[in-house]
Amino acid sequence: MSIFVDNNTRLLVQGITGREGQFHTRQCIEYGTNVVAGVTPGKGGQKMDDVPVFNCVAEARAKAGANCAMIFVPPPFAADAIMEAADAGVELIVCITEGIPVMDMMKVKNYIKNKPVRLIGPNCPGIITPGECKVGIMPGPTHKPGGPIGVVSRSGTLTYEVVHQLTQQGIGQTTCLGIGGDPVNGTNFIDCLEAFQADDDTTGIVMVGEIGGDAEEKAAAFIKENVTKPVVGFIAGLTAPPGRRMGHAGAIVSGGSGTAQGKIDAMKACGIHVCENLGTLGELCASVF
Amino acid sequence: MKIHEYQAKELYRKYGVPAPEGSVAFTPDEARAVAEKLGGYPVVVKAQIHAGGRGKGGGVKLAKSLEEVGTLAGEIIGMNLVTHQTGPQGQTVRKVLVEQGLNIAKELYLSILPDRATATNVIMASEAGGMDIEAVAADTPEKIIKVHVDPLLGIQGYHCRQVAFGLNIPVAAMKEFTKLLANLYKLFVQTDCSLVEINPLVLTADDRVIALDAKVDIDSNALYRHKEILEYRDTDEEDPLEVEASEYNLNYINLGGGGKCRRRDGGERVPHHPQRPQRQRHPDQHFRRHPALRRAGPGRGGSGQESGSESTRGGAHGRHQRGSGPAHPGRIGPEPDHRQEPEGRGPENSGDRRIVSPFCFLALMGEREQKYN
Repeated sequence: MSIFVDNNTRLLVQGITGREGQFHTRQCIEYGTNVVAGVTPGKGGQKMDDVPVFNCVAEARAKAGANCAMIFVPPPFAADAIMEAADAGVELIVCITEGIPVMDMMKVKNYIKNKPVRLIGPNCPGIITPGECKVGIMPGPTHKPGGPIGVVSRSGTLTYEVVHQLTQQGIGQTTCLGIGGDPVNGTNFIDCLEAFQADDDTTGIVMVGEIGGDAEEKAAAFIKENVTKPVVGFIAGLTAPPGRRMGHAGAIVSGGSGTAQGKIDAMKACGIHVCENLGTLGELCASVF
Repeated sequence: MKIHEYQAKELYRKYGVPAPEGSVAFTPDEARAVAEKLGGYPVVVKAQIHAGGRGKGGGVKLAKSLEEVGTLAGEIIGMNLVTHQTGPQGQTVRKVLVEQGLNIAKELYLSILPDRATATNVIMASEAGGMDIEAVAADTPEKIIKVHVDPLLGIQGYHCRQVAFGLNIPVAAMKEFTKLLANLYKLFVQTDCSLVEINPLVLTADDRVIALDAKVDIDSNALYRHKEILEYRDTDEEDPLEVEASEYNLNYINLGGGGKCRRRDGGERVPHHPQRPQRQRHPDQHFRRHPALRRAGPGRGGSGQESGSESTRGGAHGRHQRGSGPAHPGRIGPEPDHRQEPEGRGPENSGDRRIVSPFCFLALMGEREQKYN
């Protein structure tokens, strides 16, 4: 078992003919993902390797039966691409693009609010169910199939690091996903925690947060009330100066709120095993799980 | 991106948000010239730096005569202003805003910012204006009014009225206030702000509402569609190392001490020209292609001039400028091998190679690792 993506995922890639789109589509196919279609407006009828390219998502969905979209569209057009996919009825949308204006994402978020779609990202590495399906840009071989740990993170490379350490310890993963580093994103920590809690094969969860906002605090409160599985947490940004955006658009301590220490304290108070040194996370997981 | 108060007030006036009359001055003489054009005294001389708390730090002074304007401007320009936001090292003041003093009846607080949790724009207002709003929010949260605006709906009359009644705006100023708020919201949305803040917003004795202070922060991700705002960038206010890094599209923050590397992380920078011809790259080529390394000099096709303008573009855009040759709109897939960079033209073979700081390499390695893993 896994969450959100598995063997039944039929992927379509928006922006499939661009540099990043091509490269990562090939990587996903190599990993075993069933890529059924691509979309690049104006290039309908062509093929990227063996993947048919369509002009619009609705057509790709109708003809290729895609149920998941991965977006590699440049920031000025990415919000439009998400809404197009949502409008076409794609159930799961994974937006990799970094640098989408907040104003655009707020419109997107309100637009998809009452639609039966799940958005992961933007500004995220995507989602992978090791051994089954990779929808994103993470290094596939780092992952160890078979579970039993779920990983959810706001950061891309930190996810890879966490997964690497788990794998080194011989601990496999059910599903790993990044929810993105932007201030306004789709799926949040709580959605993922809920899904991992409901997934029978997942016996423990690693949650990686960072400075900015209060998603980690809310997630910690949720864990205390609703999650019975053990959770290991890590927060990036202990040394971040206030008022500066630390790489991610959403990673900013503003007005004394959103600090790493505040989040660590909140997580500890809710019974989460907080790792203070990233280098030892694998060992901590081995002892907790 | 942060901009100066005088620039923010320019935007305010453009959008019909009243601000006091005044103008920026770089020397005491210019300050006197500005003051002469204003309608009498007192005149306020305000230090222009990208940090708050200027008043407490001694960067805002009231002048009662033309002579005093010159003296105060002379004192403020060139001073090292230390506020709670500049850090202990302070910030050198290079210009002042000289503007008309006002007959203040009441000071209010008004701001608009995106609320990440609800994905709405939130208007925050308080009667406790002119103070540190974070302290007000912490000590007396009931004094802050919050009104959420659905970004798909935009600001409505009832939003404005809710704020106005919450602030106990007198009936005589009601119309002007609601107009100001609607215009401020328009500015916020149309210029992709991450914050507009007026502290204080003053109610004058003759029932006018005027933005005495002005703060505008712009969402850096949206700058590609606001070329006019890019003109407002003041690199004097930024860390020189960060300015240099930004010229190479590197995401770098100086933390002081020994730690000086930031790497890009999270999602993928998708170039703005998805249909440009692609070419296959060996991972090793990445270094050669980077603008930082393209300043290499003779035989490099004038790439030195190119990289100067790259700071204004977003993401990996800059890396696509060179060697893109004739477009093949129909083709998909890697370019043929003849498009690969000829051997012997890399920076390692160029004579006057530019020295690139080590942090550039660290950041590049982060980028490279991510692209090819």
